[in-house]
Amino acid sequence: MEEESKFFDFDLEEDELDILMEDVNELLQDLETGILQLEEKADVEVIGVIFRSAHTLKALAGTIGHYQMAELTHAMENLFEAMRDGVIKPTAEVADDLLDALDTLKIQRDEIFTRERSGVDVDTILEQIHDLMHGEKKPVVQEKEVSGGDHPLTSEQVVQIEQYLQARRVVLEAKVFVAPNTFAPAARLSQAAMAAMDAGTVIVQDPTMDDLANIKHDNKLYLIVVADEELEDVKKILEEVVDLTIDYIRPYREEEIESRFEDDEDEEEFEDEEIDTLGQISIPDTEYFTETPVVSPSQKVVPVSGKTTPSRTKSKRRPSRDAKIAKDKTVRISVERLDNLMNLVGELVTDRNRLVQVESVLRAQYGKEGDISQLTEMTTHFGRVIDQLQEEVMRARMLPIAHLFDKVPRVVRDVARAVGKQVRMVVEGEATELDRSLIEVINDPLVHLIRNAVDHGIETPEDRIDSGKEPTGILCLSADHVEGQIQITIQDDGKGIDPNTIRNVVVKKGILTEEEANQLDDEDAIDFIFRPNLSSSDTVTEYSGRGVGLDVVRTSIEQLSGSVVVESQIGVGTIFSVTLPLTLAIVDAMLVKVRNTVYAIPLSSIIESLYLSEVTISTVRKQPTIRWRDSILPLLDLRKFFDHPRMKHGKVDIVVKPAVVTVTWGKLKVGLVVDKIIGNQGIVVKSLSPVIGEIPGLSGAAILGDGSICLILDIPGLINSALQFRKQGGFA
Amino acid sequence: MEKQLVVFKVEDEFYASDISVVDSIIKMPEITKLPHTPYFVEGVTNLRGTVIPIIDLRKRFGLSEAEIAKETRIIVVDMDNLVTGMIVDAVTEVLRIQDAIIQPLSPLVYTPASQFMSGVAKLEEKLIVLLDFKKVLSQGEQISLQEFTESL
Repeated sequence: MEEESKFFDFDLEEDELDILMEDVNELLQDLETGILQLEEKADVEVIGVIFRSAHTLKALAGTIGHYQMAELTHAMENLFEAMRDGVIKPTAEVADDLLDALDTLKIQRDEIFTRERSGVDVDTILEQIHDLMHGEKKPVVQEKEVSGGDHPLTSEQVVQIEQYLQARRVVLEAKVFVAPNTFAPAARLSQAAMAAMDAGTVIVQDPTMDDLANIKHDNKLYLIVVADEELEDVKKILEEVVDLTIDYIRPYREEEIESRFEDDEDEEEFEDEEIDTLGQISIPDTEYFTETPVVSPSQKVVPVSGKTTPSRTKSKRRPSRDAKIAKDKTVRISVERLDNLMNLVGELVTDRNRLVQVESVLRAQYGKEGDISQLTEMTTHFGRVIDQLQEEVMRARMLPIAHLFDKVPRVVRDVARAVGKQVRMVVEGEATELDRSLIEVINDPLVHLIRNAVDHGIETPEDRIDSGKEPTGILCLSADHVEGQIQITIQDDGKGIDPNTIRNVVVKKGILTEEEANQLDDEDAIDFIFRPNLSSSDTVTEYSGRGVGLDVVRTSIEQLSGSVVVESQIGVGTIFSVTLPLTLAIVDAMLVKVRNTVYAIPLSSIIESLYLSEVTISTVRKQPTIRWRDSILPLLDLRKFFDHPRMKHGKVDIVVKPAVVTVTWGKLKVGLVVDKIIGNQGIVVKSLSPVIGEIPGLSGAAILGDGSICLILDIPGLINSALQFRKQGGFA
Repeated sequence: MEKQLVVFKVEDEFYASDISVVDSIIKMPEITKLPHTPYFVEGVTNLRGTVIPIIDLRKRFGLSEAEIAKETRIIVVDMDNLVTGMIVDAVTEVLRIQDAIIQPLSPLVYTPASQFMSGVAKLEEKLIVLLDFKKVLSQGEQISLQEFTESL
């Protein structure tokens, strides 16, 4: 190879990059999911998927000229092939090496993007794979005699052969030998085996290549080959090998094939049945995964990626035909273009609001004269179409949450192995869709919660056995649409959080007095784990069983107008529920006026609104409150909260009708006092510039129909400020 | 090398910015005030469908406030997609100058905008201070963060 420069010279146009990256990322994800599944069940299907992924990736890498990537994927491909042929057993160790290789591929993917050599060590990985294939590390498959016939086969091989037969491929078995006195008999037999590889896919080779080279053999070679060509052609190829005699070459168990063909009429159903059988056969009764702490062998077939329901299992595992059809009907579109589209729709929404205003002014002025009624009609229709357009564009931006969930098994596996836990993942609702911008930003908080659940929630196998549980903990990750929002739950069956230990820590930290802490109900006490000063302490891990940074999780979820709550029962487990809006782009909001500024309150957080004149304000511990539905509701007067010298500029609307808008976030409720309620409308959320920084109580801005700007209220932030006094021991 | 500068006035001084960062120059629009922000952040406005923040350079430079006059303009600058409006007393001209006449800052010369300056251009009739809007903004961020934490 030439002297390496710091940069790659890829054969790749800028405008091709995005789409290539999409492809590469998808393939890497398929590989990761597949490799993790290997540990649970190494069936032909799974291996087939990862084999194809590695193969496609190799081709892509080759096309653009990333030869290191091509080399690595090639090595992986070979390993998968060996696995499929039953030469290599997918132990946890193999999976570890494969995941290492995958991580290297990810770095190489980044190299495609930056075109800069990262200096990633490919050789070590290649060596690892080589050792697996040829070295002493090679985990030996325990031969399990299933089929009678001419040669003992493992159950996997039988299944594999049946699969090929079903696919009406030519499966041949052959026995060849060389005379004992031939020169270099092993070389001849190897040559024969290689010739067979050229002619198709070798499923069984006895002795194997390595055995031929290293172990004494009886100068015979048995092969089962899925031939790309006809029997005669394969025979010819074998005959070309010097000094080789063909004992026999024949279709594999002919009578079997014939009986198969009779079942043809109901092929689809038949295949599905086969797969179910396959799943069972491929996991032998013997302890298959000797080294993996992640998976217990007695477990039912639930892959790490957690395709739990049978229907989903099928659809996920048989992507072939349907996926192909679906692919032809879809178009890849860049995120940027979708964003532009969304912005344009956003402007239309603003214009629509404006049109409605103009229309109502004109109608008031001219009544129902001919042209005006036409305008009214058009305005209504225009509004409807824009609503639909908005919904369609939003839908186009939606992605199934599987994009996020697919990455989780790897995280769980890594953490579980690092801390010596046994965890089984169950995933539900992967098809739940949410806005792609949300998927990107929710990743980190979610991963944090999952790590925590494995690290601190689920106990060690020993502890679990001591408390009468199965040694393997269950981590359930699910997503669902609830009342126009997305709810994601992370549930573990671990030791739970003890509210009393939290109370102790809270008192010890001087956040509450002992009396106050004892007054907290259990729920409120547990909620303290989201407090920054609490969770950043390492003693908390020990006491409450939760790690650092939950305050960060809550903050980032709140920034997305979401909320996170926790439920826990000692000894039973913990559930974190994250609620998020479907999209961040367009929000239904109530517009209110405070002094001369218009503010928007997201409808999703409003419970109800009442006129201030209808309620009686009483002061409880210096905090103004109202009685509301049998409880006391603290008030936050926005006229005071947003009181700022400069806010007094301009003329103040004289017509005020103060109102209380009751808003909720998580379990907390607060009444916001405003000067006037204007009405409800959909607004397009725009962020306030980073130049301004964060403004307490505000989360963004929106442009109204008349071109003016309204400020969007940050409800979690406001509720927090309203309840600040709680920590001084006010409300409970 | 030749440079193109947008020259503007804040109080009695002439300032200039490289034209490449200037998106447009607009008359004073309606500005929505923002609570709890640094004093020099005038508010936000709607610029062709985008919400952009407006900074008053007089206040930023620590000068006295002035009434909005007929000549008052907003220079809309776009730096790394960070679009911001800067209120100036007047925009006077667009100037072509040679790089060579730009001199580094002398520590002896002090103007209120010293901390945001990147150099000085000496012309026959006047002295023009070259502003680096990046500094105007980045230090703005710091201040707003500071005030934010203080307000808690």
